[in-house]
Amino acid sequence: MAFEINHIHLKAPDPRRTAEWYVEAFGFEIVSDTVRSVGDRRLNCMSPGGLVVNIPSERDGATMADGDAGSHWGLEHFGVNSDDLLADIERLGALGAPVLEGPIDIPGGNLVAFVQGPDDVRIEVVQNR
Amino acid sequence: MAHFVNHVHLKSEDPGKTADWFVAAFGLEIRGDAMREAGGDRFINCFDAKGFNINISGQRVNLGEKMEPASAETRFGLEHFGFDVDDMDSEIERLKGLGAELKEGPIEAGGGLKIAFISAPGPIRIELIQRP
Repeated sequence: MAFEINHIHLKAPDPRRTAEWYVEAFGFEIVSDTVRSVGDRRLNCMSPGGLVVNIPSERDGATMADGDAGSHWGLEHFGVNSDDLLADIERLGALGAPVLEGPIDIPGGNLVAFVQGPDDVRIEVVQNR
Repeated sequence: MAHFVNHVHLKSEDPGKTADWFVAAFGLEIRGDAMREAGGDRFINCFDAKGFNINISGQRVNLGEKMEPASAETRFGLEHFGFDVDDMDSEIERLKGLGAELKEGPIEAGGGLKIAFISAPGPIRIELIQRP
């Protein structure tokens, strides 16, 4: 059987604030905002390409490690398309997401940069060429 | 162009082994596998059934990249991603047979929705979702 990715999942101490950042930064749409019986406030967002991004807080009794916007093994980052990377990293910087790395001009490939999103999320900004 | 989510990126000490695991576990299709000159890393492009891109690469040794450990535990920030499954119980058994560890669940999440969390080799936290 071939499988489809259902969503990516970010956790945030203040999920409304984080979701609103993604609305502003990348045009996400907040689809729902509820408090669940397990104690978390959960915002379900739709990203422009149709991939669901869920952003809840921690559940009752959960032990949460910190985010990690640096290079690390495992699930490290996700990428977002940009038409104009240089303009977008300026804009994202003004929204509180500093550049961690780049811009990197990949020979024969894309122009990319890594920024630090809310809650220490590593985000790659990708300008296809 | 709108700001589409372009890909999810996994980093692995052995990208070939990790990519093979995701091929066996979730039927990902490998469409590219190359050594990158600038980073000195092996870079494998995988795609899910809908054509969503999952990149799996190694350490960019030529750039002096320092890697922090992975975590399959609950955490703030980018915590996990999820795959749809048709039959939760049999998929959990199958994935355990491939070396995954069941972290949480299966949980009846209401309205017939069933979810579970596994730790894939990495470790990587993955949610399984069986819709009603």
